[in-house]
Amino acid sequence: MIIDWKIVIETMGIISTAVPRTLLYAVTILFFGILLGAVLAWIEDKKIPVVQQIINVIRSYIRGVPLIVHLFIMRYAMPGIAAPFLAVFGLTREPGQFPAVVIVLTTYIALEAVIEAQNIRSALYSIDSSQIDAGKSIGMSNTQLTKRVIVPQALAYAVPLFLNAFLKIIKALSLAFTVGLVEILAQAQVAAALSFSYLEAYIAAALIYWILCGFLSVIFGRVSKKLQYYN
Amino acid sequence: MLQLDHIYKSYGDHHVLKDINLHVDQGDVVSLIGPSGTGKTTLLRTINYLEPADKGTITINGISVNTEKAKQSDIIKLRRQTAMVFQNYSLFRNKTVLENVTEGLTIVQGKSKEEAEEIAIREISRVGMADNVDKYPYQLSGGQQQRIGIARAMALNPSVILLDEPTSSLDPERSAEVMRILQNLAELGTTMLITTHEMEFAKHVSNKVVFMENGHIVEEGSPDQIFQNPVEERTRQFVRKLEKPLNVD
Amino acid sequence: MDIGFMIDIFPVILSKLPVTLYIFTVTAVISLVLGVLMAFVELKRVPVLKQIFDIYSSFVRSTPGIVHIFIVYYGLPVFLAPFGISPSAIDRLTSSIVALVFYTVAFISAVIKPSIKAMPQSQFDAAASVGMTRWQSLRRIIIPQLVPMTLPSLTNAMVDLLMDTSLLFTIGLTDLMGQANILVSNTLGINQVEIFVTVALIYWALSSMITAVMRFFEKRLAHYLR
Repeated sequence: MIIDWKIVIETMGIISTAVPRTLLYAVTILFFGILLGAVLAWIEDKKIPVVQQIINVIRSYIRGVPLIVHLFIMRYAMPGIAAPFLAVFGLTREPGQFPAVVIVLTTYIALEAVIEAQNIRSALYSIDSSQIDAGKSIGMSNTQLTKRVIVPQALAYAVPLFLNAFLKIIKALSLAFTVGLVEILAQAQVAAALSFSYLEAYIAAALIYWILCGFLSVIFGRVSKKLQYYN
Repeated sequence: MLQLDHIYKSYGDHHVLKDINLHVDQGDVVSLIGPSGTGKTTLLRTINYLEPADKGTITINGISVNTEKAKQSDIIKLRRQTAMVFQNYSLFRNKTVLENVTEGLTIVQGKSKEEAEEIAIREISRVGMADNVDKYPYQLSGGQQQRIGIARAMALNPSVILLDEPTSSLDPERSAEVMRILQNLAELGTTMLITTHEMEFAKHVSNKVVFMENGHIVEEGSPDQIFQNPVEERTRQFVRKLEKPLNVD
Repeated sequence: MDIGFMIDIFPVILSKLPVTLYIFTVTAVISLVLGVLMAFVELKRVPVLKQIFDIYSSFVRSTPGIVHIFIVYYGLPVFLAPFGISPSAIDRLTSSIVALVFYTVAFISAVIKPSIKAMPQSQFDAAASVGMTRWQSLRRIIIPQLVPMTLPSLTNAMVDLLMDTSLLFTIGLTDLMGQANILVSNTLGINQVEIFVTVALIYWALSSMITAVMRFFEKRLAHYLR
């Protein structure tokens, strides 16, 4: 056949070495994204007039511009921005040597925070006020209410969203090769360059992604279903 | 007029309709009563082919359709002889009150817009909704929507109007209003087949009552017969349960 | 931030806007048509096709768009060669459109399906009960209600498509991003931030316009739905 499946399989082996690293990046991004998102959600909840407008504009910008453009802007802007901080520590970095990890993590975490802020707010809004009323009517204190009514319900709503975001991040990381980060796709390209079999390498990458994300979505689906029982 | 011969319908192993035979003459007002889940609604829906019957023949106004060999053109022909009033009104959400009533007249019956609107306004006025011709369904209450549902059915001038528990979704006051309108239509000679839990209507407005249970027609007859002197034991039990108020012996 | 520079390069980048718009529009139209067909097949459970589409959906949703772009770019000529189509006949434009359509159809069908499912059976029943044919019911009652219901999710899908076009420069296509990258190499490593900020602003404007237009239609068409 026109496609050399032996090379595909071999390349899949090579690529899979990058999977753990990719997962680690994704977890980090999601974790800090949720943290920052929570802070952002808290700020938005205050509904401070000017701040809120600025946040809305920033949100519109972040969601209206492609990820790769954000990435490139960060890649070229970060060395300049970080220089003063690094100088404090007596470090200098050549623009070309600025660690790709920092660029990628910063960009992705910032973007994720904006998305998660939205998810967290929806999760909190989704809580049925009648449930809170019921809790109050049987004499629950505020802490008890938060612990036993609000948090479980908010989590049941938000966790599926977080899991979904995790999958999206894994796929979004496929653009990180453009700034030199090694993850699944970057590994595939290395393999492609070595073997000159580009098509096979990218098919291998696709298969790795399919297996990885397919497997994860099945697990995540089950977890999400289990959480629904609490509603 | 309307004749059902040996109608059978099942969903998998569940036999919903078993050998239904029914005859409705022009001008008849037939009440179909019986416990819930007994196939009354399904029976109605097989007549206008919203559910295809598995076996049997449906004849309306001389047009006969064998359900085992029904073609799409036959189904459309049947539907053009009937009109249905739904439990949940089912008005076209993207059309105004007037358009809801004229749709069938223009698109299906091919009438001109002017003629259709004339007929529509007449029927809409008859149900007391003349002030609302330009409103959309979402702006109307349940009772108002149901009245338009009736107007829509009447405007088509069908051989028989099928009404599926028309008042079940309404509160008692609106329910009574709709029942009065139906009584009005009955007095005008409209042929109606209505599934209902409203026993007052069944007793006083309809001229024929059909009692169904478990997919069979157990007994049919005049209201007097069914309610005062039922022949079948099961009919007697059902009617007796209706008479007893709360269990306060 | 050298604003003067940004103003200078703005028209240069904008000159490639037609390329982006062309690819976006062609992909959008084809994807919508195919997406509707696919949703239809899945809802009707057409035997073999549904299984194929399920596998296709699973594949597309688990793999990043850029991988599709690469596979189609390298693979399409190889795939079509046995049919006597020479590799040179498949230019980057075609490759881009094929890749993006392949990627987008799954998402569009995923957006349309729930809308159709959310359509109450009673609307179909009512249309049938007055004697309308299947086609009449669809045209006059069902589709006019489906469109405003689907528009919000469809808007997201369209914006995502616009974002996906920004990846095409990786196969050498000269659209907005492609032009930006050319400028980067031409300006020898200075003002890169300005170049990409300019591109960012153009994309921002485009996505805002798409959202605004679709919101306009949504408001106009949904006035009867509550």
